[in-house]
Amino acid sequence: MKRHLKILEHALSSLRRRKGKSLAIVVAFAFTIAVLASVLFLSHALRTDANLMLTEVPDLIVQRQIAGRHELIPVDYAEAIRDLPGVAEVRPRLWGYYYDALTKANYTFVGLAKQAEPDWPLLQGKVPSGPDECAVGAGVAEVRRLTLGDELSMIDANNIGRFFTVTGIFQPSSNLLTHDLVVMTEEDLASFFNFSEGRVTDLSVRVYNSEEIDKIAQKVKRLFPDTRPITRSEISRTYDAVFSWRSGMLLTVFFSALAAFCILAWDKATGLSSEERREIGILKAVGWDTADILLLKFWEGMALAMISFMVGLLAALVHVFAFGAPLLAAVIKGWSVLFPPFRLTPHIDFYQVSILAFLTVIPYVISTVVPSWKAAITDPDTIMRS
Amino acid sequence: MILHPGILALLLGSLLTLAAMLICAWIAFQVLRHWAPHRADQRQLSLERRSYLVSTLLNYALAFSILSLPLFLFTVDDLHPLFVGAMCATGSLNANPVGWLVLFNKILLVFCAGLWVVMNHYDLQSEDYPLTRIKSLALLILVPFVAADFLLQAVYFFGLSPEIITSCCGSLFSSGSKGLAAQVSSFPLQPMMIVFYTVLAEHLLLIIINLLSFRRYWRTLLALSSGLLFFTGLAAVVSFISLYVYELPSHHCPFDMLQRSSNYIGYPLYLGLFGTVLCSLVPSLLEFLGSSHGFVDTLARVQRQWLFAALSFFLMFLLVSSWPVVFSRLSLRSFF
Amino acid sequence: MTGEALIRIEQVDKIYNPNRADAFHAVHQVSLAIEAGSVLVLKGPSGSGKTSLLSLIGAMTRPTSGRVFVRDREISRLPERFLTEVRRQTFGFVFQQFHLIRNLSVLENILLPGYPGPVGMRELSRRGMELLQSFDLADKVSRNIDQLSGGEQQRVAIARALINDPQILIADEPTAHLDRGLAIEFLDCLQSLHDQGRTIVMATHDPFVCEQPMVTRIASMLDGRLLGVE
Repeated sequence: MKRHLKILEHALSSLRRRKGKSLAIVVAFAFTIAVLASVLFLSHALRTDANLMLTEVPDLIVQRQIAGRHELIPVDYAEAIRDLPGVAEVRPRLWGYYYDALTKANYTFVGLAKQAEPDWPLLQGKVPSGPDECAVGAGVAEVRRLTLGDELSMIDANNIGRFFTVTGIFQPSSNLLTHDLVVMTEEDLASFFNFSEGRVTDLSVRVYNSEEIDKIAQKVKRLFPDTRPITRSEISRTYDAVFSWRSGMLLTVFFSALAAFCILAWDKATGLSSEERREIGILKAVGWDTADILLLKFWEGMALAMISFMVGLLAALVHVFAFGAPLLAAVIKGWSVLFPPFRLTPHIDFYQVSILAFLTVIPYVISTVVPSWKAAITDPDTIMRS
Repeated sequence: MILHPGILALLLGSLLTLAAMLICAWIAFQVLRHWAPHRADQRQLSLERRSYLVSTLLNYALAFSILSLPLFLFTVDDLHPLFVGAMCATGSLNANPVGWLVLFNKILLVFCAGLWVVMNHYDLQSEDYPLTRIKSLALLILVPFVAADFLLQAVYFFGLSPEIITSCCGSLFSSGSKGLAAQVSSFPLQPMMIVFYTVLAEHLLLIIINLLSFRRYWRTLLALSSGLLFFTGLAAVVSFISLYVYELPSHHCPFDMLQRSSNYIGYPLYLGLFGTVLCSLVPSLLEFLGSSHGFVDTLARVQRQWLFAALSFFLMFLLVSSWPVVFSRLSLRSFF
Repeated sequence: MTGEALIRIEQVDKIYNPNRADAFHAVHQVSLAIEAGSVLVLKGPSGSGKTSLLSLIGAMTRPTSGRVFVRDREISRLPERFLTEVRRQTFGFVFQQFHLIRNLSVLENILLPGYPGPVGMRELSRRGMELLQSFDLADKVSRNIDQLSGGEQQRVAIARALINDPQILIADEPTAHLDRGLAIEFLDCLQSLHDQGRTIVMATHDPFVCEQPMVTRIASMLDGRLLGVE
């Protein structure tokens, strides 16, 4: 242990004496780590935030499919599903997407049942209660330059221009859920999209015991073979898979950066300056053996790696959680004109940090082993003969 | 394939480990052919210098092999939400049965790597490199296992697909199912507890005897007892220790106790078990190497150190495994 | 002062780069015994093999053939790790050009040979400070080597050689780059070390060194061969 500490001290002193080279490696390595860490932190934070949000999603959503394409579902199906044991509540839902040619954005239209109150806090105003009224999300309001009392004009399914008075605008804090939302009465929505009588978009099902969701989904499928029941866990799995896949894809791309850095590290370690060679020769001559030199090189590498790791980690934290990872967000979050700006909640755990260490520190240390060894096997009497 | 960061880390690490092993295997082959410490010629000097490279690379490679076991378990646990029916690491492993082979190979590697590192350490302490040849041979034997680690992991991870429907630990470790795991879970509790504590007592006794006696016979018995302790310990974890940890009479999963929900109690538990088994194997190994390769001088002192380490890990395992049994709110009296 | 052979070399040869086109036979069949407490000078012109023989005596390199004994223990076939340990415990080296590490302080330079050993940092630093005081360098402890004069660097080099308290001091052409004044200072220093009971082996072609009263034996070398010992 004493030997390790003494050699560590000399290693740190060596790095201090070669500030330029050490700094170059730290900067390059920290940058590489920051990039990889940003990818990991962003995808992990999004996954965690998505999972948190999904606790509000219905246990089961029943859609109708014909020839593999989504179709409106008869509202009568709700009665039969309600009668299944274990089902607590079935709510028909009317909603859809609208493409606004003016702003080239997609809005999500949601119909409000007469008795329903949205439980999202509004910035100002109130929920639409009558015909030709709507509440909009902050993104819609911004892109169409709307304030309370303004008219939102859209083209309906019959190609007729419709005007809706904005009675409320949603809070930015609910952005993740409401940013692109347009809420109106169910009647207005049905007439806007020309829904057939007795048809709704899908059915939201709540069950008494969440362990039974899969069983109930199977029963629904048996009852109505033209339906597609989607469980909450399936949605969660899809998000997990997408974020994992996207972050994995990015990591694969950034491996080239890591590989380039390791080549740099190898090159730096191999290309010892004459001063460094002389120093190793002196150490061998005054009583250091090969194992001691290897230990010195190990501590030099570890010190650089640890410093770079801390700096890179910190930079990634700031990049992702303070600035929202502008460089990476587009790939991992996906594309959308009306993408909600939202603050990511910092979520880091030991597993992520260890993956990062495995992906960065280990390849770096391995890439310096052979060059370090070549330097360490210098003959002790080289210095005598020079 | 699922492009998960943990998977990338594991595959990259095991690939680098394999590359390092292959470099070392080439040098080991040279050593086996040309090693002659009594000759101080250029070739011998070159081999001695290359043995430094082998030591350094192998220490890194084998350290990774040991660390990759918990990383693998964490990764398969992190993957489980992607599979229908999976609720923990067991589900992910069931999604592609090669996963179990990966796990078993990694466990084997942990012990082999540990023993090789010990052998290497003592070889370097001796003036005439008494263990270099046998160490090189052991290295060559290790190579297929390291290669298997990489290949099996690749086959496992490439064979995973989110469309797979798998079963979780509840069905794997339940008495109604078939298979070894189910059989272990359904052992009658009281006989299992008796067997477990008997094996623990017997192992403790052997450690104490070995501290007092230097007979090779006792070392060999201790090594055999380690194997017995390892398998009995794992069976006990699945059979009843897990029940007390989770406070649920039907939850036999050996992996969930590595998670936060169980306060990570799995770590000191498995560390104690693996530690005591490894440290109990070392004295027997040193005894065998010392007597056949003649470096007996420091053996006695060194073996005592390992026996004390084995005792410390043993006490850790005993404490962590028995604490939930004694203090849990769950009572399994009706099962006895 | 003199006693039994501390170091014995028996018919050693040293060939650098053997089996290559640039192979160089530096030492031919040299046998020599060095008694404890003696001062041996290896005399000869440049290229006579003095430095190579010093390397062999000081366990810096292994002989191509022949045997080397330190305190009756054969070291010629020892693995590098143990050879280094013997060298560290037994020998202190003062090189021709001192070979101190630039940008490192005086104290750090002195402590370097002690780092791989079992002595803790505190004890090592204490020894280092003691040496600095005995060489009148206590006020220069944190100065960079580059800031010292030639004479001061020389004293640092000697102090570094003594940090592990070795029994044998080896000096290679110690006065080659020194003026007469500094050379005398250096030799006075060696005298006091000799008075402490240390054995000294020096390689030189400077006749002034050979004339010193402390020198007990002079071995003459030419073309890698030992011509005679007087």
